Amino acid sequence: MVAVIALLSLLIAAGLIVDVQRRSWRVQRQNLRNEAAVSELQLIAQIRSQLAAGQTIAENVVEGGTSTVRAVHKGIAGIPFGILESIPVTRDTTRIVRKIHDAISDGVYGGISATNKALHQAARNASSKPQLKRDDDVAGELPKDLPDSQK
Amino acid sequence: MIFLTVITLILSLGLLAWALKLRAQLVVLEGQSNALSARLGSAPPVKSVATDKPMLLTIEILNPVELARKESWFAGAFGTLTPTLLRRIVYTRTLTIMQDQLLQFDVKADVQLQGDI
Repeated sequence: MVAVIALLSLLIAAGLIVDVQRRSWRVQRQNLRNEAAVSELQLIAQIRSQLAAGQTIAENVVEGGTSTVRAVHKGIAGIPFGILESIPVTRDTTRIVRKIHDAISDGVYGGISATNKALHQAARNASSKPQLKRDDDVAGELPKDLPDSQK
Repeated sequence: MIFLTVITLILSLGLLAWALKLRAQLVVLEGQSNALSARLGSAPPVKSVATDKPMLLTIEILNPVELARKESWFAGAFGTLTPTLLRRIVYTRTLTIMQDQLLQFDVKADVQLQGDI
């Protein structure tokens, strides 16, 4: 009787050890996947921060460039307007033309600036979108496991 | 003889208790690992697919962004914006490389992409 119990315990222990080994292998695989996922997420975060920094620089460069061009344009355009305004015959007409010119150029440069801001805001929104989970990622789906009945 | 049998019984029961304890610890580890994987959004490992074929080798690329970034910085940046497209490109490229490499070793293999790529 004692021998039978001992044998039975040995068999159960052997079965359990085999099961533990199988589960341990599965956990190791899952850990490998988790490590890879962490590494990928860190890399994505790093790239996104680089993109965000680049976007800010580009936005500032465009904004600064536009402001400079606007100032230079205004200065150059002011020279003939100044000369024409100093002549009494052309003074009134020049003032009107200057107002129209200033309104048009303000509109154009304002438009460029607004478009620049809008474009960069859109880029920021796109890059700050949360990373799609693989479960939601249709194109990245893995082959579906067959139902248990077919295994 | 009885003495030896009793010793064997004690050892067997000890082994059984140890195996049970090990299994309980592993179950906890499994739970933690699954919870972490759910938080990270990483898919669980593909279970073996029962088919009429005797053996299949499955390869799943776990670091597509890293691979793309090794090619060029732009590819990595592009991949963070469109992970689906990036994964598709990486898998297609890997397929081509594997086909070429296997041929070099005279391996006759039917390499194909499965899933909705």
